[in-house]
Amino acid sequence: MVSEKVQKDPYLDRIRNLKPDQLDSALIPFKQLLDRKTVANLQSCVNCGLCAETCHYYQATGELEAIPAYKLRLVKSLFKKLSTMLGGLKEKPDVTGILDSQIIERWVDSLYGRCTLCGRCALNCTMGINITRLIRMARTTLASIDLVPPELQSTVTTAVEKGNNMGIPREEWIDTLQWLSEELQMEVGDQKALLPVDKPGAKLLYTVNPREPKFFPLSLLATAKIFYAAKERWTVASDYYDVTNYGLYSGNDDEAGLLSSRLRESMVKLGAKALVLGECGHGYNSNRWEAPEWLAAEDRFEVKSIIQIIADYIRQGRIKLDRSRNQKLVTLHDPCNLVRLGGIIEEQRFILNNAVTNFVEMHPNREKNYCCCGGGGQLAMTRYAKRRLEAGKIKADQIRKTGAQVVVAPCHNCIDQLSELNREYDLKVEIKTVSEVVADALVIEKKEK
Amino acid sequence: MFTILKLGVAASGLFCAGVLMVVLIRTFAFGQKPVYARPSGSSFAGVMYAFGWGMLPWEKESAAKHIWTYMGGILYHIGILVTMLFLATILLRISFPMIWLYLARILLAIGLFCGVALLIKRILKPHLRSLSSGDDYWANFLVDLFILLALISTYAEKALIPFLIIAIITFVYIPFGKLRHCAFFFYSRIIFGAYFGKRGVLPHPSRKT
Ligand code: SF4
Ligand code: SF4
Repeated sequence: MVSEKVQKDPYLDRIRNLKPDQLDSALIPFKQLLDRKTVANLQSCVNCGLCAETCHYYQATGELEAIPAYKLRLVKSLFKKLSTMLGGLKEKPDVTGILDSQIIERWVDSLYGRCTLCGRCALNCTMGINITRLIRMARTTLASIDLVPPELQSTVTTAVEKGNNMGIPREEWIDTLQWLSEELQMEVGDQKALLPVDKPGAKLLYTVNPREPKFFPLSLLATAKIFYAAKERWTVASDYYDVTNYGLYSGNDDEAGLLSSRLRESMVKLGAKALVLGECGHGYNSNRWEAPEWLAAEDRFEVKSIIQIIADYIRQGRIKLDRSRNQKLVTLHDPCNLVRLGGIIEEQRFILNNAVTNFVEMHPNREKNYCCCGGGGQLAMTRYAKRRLEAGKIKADQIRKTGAQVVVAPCHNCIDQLSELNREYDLKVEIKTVSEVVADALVIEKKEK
Repeated sequence: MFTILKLGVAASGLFCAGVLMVVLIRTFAFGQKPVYARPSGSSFAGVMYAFGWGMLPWEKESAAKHIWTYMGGILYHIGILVTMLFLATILLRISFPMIWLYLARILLAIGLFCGVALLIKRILKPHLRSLSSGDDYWANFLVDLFILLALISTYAEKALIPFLIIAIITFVYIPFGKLRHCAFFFYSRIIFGAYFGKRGVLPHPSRKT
């Protein structure tokens, strides 16, 4: 069902007043997105319904519109109208009425409004259908006729126009880096300690979620402290440093590709050896896995998560940690895009086992973990905030069951959602990034001034 | 009459296989987009997992939480396989020892029970009912009938005539409804395994060693 709030807004009016030629124009990109994998997936569902409970939206509401197979059916029904009994596309389909405003409204409501693109259904489908990819394909189709929910689109547009999704001016970013450098110098007692900007020939180019310089600079300071302790040759770029890519969620591949290409531009400009993605789940999935496809080019350099880098520092003895500095009971949230869809599964556990004294897993965990419900662009799409918090209850319950005092999440997006869940469900937990926990345990011998 | 029906089954079987082949060829004709991201795991290991450990009920939450439905589905498909084998013995006039017949009866009876149970579940569970179309009910009913007649035929030869008629209807229907998933199951599992395998998500770390 479409919520009342949605019914009143201009976005919905726009959908309801779509002209037939606008609707027809969506069919072209839809057809272009079909390849043998998607077509096979579109014909494989047996309606067994076993995917229903794998989706947090269905678990929270029990609504048909939340069932992954229902979402898949929305996409499949368009394919069916365009294809013959034998599976190929009709030569000259009668496109009139194939898509109408009601269908689009249902698509938007379920595929944007009740999905975090978390991949849980894809992992659990008995047939192996990648429902998540099909949902994103539908989002791409909607994006092609300019129907991305406006709040999500505005995040993407800000990133495209201003270089980062928070629209932070370059001077402000440089300023922040400067005072963080001073903080770092004070903390480590070394006047040479820095957060280097545009340093040519650095080994690592580090990218951050703009949320850090804007609201949580101390988490950036924590990472800088780790780099300092590991004596790393690293840098950030003064222009393109935003690891996030909401194009992944909006479905607009051109914009997503543009955002990811900018990080690659910075790599080339600065001649760094590896692109290091800050703690951001979808930033990792976008830039590690999807960007090469959006840009139709293999990366000539390594693309790594900061989590892998920190784990390597510990293994190589480049940083020393004192676990006793983190005595509280800690649990770990697995961001879907980093873990289930990204493949970074054990490194964060290895790090925590070295950085805290009491670590407890939530259940289920790793690739089977529940989505916090902040992904898929849900945090940006405020129109669906009520659903997001409702569906996030499963995560809140998971956290509560651990009895943990600290929840570590290697993703700033997840941290935003977890913070809201913390308030909504009165969890009384601290929420931290992996870097923050590691920085707290870092043993640094202060240099003489 | 019996010979004509046998010829009809053979013809409909060939028709079914032919149409499914065309469907698969047309699906593959959509082509594959080039893949650029470097792997961090192994697609091959992922595919092996998809057809091995990944089929075990506890590997998937959806199956673990609905163990009876999942097991029912597997036993139902075993029943279908036995029905097909039984049909082949009729068409090719292959005789087999009684012990095989007893075993076949047991598997057919279990398969039939599971098929009917799944149909009842589809009717009774509101979320499944709302997901289902006529095709879901018809396909389930048709296959249940197919198994039932195979089972009766193992006791009474007279049932062979309706069994062969239903076999023809089933074969003709397979490529046009949800039953065509039989052609896509393997490919979908390969896609699944390769996707999560390449990303280093599956096989689960505990299965890698
Ligand atoms: S689990 Fe897969 S096959 Fe079963 S209903 Fe869901 S999408 Fe369809
Ligand atoms: S991707 Fe996640 S949120 Fe979307 S339908 Fe699947 S399980 Fe639900």
